[in-house]
Amino acid sequence: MSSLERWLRVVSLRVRSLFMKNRVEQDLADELTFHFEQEAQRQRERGLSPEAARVVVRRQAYGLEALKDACRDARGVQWIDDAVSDIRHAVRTFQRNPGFAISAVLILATGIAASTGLFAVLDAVVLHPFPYAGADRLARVQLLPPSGPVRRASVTADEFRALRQALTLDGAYIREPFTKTLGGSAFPESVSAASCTGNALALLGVQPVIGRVFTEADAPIGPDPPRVAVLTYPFWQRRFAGQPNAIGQTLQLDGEPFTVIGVVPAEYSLDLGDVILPLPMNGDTGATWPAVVRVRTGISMAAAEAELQMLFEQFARSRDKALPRTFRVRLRLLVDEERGASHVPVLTMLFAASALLLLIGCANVTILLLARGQHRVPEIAVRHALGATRSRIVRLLLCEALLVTLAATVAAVMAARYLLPSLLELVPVVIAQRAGRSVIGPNAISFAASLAAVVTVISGVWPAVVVSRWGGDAVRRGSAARGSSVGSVGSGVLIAAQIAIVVVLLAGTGAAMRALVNLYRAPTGYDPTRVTIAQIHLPTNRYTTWPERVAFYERLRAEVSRETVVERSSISLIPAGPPPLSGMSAQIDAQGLRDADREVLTLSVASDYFATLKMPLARGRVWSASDDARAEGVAVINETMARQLWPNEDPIGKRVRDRSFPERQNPPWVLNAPGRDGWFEVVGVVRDAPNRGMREPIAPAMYIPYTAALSDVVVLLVRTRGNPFAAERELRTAVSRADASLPIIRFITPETFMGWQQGEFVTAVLLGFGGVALLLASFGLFSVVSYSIAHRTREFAIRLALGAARGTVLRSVLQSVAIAVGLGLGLGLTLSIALNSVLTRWSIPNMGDPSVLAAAVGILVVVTLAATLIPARRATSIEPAIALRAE
Amino acid sequence: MSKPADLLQGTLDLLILKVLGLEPLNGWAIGQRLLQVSGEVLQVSDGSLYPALHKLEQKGWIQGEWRASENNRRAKFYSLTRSGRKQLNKEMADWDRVSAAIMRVLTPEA
Repeated sequence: MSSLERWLRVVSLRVRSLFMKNRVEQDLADELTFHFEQEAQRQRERGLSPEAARVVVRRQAYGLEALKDACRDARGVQWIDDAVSDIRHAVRTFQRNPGFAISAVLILATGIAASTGLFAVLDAVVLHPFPYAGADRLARVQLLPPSGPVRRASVTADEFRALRQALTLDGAYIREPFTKTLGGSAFPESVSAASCTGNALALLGVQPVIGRVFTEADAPIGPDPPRVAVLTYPFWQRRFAGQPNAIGQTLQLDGEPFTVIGVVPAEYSLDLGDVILPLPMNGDTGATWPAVVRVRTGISMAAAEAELQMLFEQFARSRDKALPRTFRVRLRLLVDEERGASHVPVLTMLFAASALLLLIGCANVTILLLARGQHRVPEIAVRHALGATRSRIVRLLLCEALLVTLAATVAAVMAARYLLPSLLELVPVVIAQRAGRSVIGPNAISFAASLAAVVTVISGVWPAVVVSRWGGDAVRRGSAARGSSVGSVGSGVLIAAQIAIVVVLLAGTGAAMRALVNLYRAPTGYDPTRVTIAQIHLPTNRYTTWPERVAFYERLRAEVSRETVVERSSISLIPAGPPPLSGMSAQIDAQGLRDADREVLTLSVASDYFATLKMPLARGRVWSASDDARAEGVAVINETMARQLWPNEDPIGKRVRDRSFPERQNPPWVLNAPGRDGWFEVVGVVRDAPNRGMREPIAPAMYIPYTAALSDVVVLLVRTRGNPFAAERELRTAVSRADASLPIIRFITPETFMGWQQGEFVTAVLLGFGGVALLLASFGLFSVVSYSIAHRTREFAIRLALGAARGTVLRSVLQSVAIAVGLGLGLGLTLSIALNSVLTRWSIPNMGDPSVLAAAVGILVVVTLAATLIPARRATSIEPAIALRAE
Repeated sequence: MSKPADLLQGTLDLLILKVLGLEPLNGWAIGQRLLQVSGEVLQVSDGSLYPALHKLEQKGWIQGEWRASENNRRAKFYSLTRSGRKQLNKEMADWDRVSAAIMRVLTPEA
């Protein structure tokens, strides 16, 4: 193969040029010397004149080196040599002037670290939220009836079998989250479990760390599956200290023994919990499960939806009740669900803020490079005079900028790597659970590397070009005096840009703070002071009848209220809790009810719920504890529901039926009170409280006795006498007195569920960014003013010597700065107001708020004045005689 | 170092390849041969010749070898490689095509 041969020869030549440089150089010299000797001989043979001899000699003396250079260039490795010498030179320069290098590296590292850290979070939350194979093709099946809410499509065991065979799908799986109680040790522990169909782990591409994952054989459809368990890595570490002999051991889950067969990596623990168990799928009970499908590669969503439409219509014909009569099948991608979450815009906004911070850093480094270039004009002029080309000098200067960025990037990646885990602890759970998975891995590192390239271009190219021109100018002028001033139009633009970005960041920070204050002040509908809540899950095989369960919950309440740290306590059933936690969505019937009003929230609470949370009653009464015990058909509604359903009537005494009531019965998880039909009589109206989060409008809501339909997950609501955190031990003791095998999941205080934490987090991050941005911008201003004064010392000295007032000199310094700052403020204000309309859709609606903008501008003016006046005062302290002699 | 525009861009490469296609020569001899064959018209400066030779060598079209010259001095002789010969044929064909085209432009009647 001649091309291979050629390629080998080329490679060997390049290698030789690079690594056997002396030999190659010697060859080149020999070759050219031979040439010149031949030439000289030819001249001699022609009869050498003295003139011609001199030409030959001169060519040998001067032309030889240039010719060698041209040959080296032609060999195509010269640039590597140049780069090496550029890097050496740059390192030497930095060693001589470490102050510049350190400040530039720190400035850039701050911005790059912030951007890279937030990128890592976005990567984990938005770009790659799931660690599964083909995660971007996983979808939930939804049914859209002609009217009413979207429903999850659940399938029976037989239907699941048919669904898996669909031609447009790779397959389907079911994952049901559970909480189980782990026994067998001194204290019961609550573990999160995922029950999965046998094919789930293989379909998702989950590989075991040790042992094996279960297969179809371990989780057959129909008969009860064998009791095997796959652990996720953190649980294996926690429970078995990472011992390989965990395989084959038994776990007591809800009192049943499960044999451990394998361990899967930690990245799966967020979705799959602590242990993964085979899902029992007994087809005879008619039970249904929501399935997740994976669409085949290359198949469009519409094609898959069309096939599933036919399939589900078939399902609907064979079971009449559980599916709506007519519906449209829609596939909802899991990643879209994740990306549509409310915290995504918040994170994106913070990421944008970090990018602005980095931009300010770039502008700062540009200013530093320009200022330093000014001092290097003589050096560059000398290089020019010695024959360095302009492009060679630009390359040298760019190499310095590149080195600074590289050092900054390495520092930033290391800092982000070191700091991210502890910073993630501060990210509130409500923002993003998946943020916890963020790591500075290959994705984040390559992001940082591309940032470095962009930063080098932004901050390095312009100074390199300008400074090399100054050097050329100096040569032409024949003096090594400094070139044009740093305080020129260019740095004016940089200052203006920095100020504009700082205004935007400060306005954003101010807006976030304002939003937070509004959130604090927003009506909560109850008194959240010293309130704490805890979730308790019942084991599946205990308290399985309605009377047993009621008796247990009542015992639990009694034990908790006996604790002296408890001022008052109550319970509610998930998803109900203190405002603004939501209730369960339900369709209701009532006399003369319009269709639009059918949808209400129902919250299952105990009678003392309102007293414990101090929710004021508007009219009527609250039911009694004995109503709870008998699961009486009574309800308390909120003002919104009263207003919507019975605008001009007294709601007390009205009767409503919860249509979903019979469907709630789902033993052993949900037990309906015997003989209840879902009819409730309104006995009272309670004042409105937010019930769909703090930002959403209040929905019509109906509170019913929790005993009407008893689920196995209960929320303990406690108002403590002292610090709620200090009460945790007593509450755990009280719960264990009620049932020693019962674990408490976790305690939460209103900071979490009121959305305060999210606001506080956003405000804290923006405050940090805004502060650093302000610092950087004033540093930039400070350097520009200092350098321009140093540059104009001679001019000022002359003016002072000629009798100018010091104030006049000072004014001339301030004038150009004032114009730049003014332009920046104007631009920043315009941008903030323009951005406000964009951000309103996100989380911070107040960026155009005059008071916020005024505050931002006020802070900026004070800081920029300080950053300008401090160095500017030096201009007035110039002693003309000394300054002029020094020049 | 910029290249002198004394020869059409790329033509020098073709000429070198052509000359070396006949026999291996050292750099000085290549210059002499070009001068001689072209009837003293094409005088290639050493500032163009040697960089061109090194570039062609790097591309693998010619290879250098140290041998004794006629006057028994050590000199670097270049010879055409196999891929160099292929390149020569290609460039000759290109040249024919281009020069024919230029001729057609210059003499539209023909």
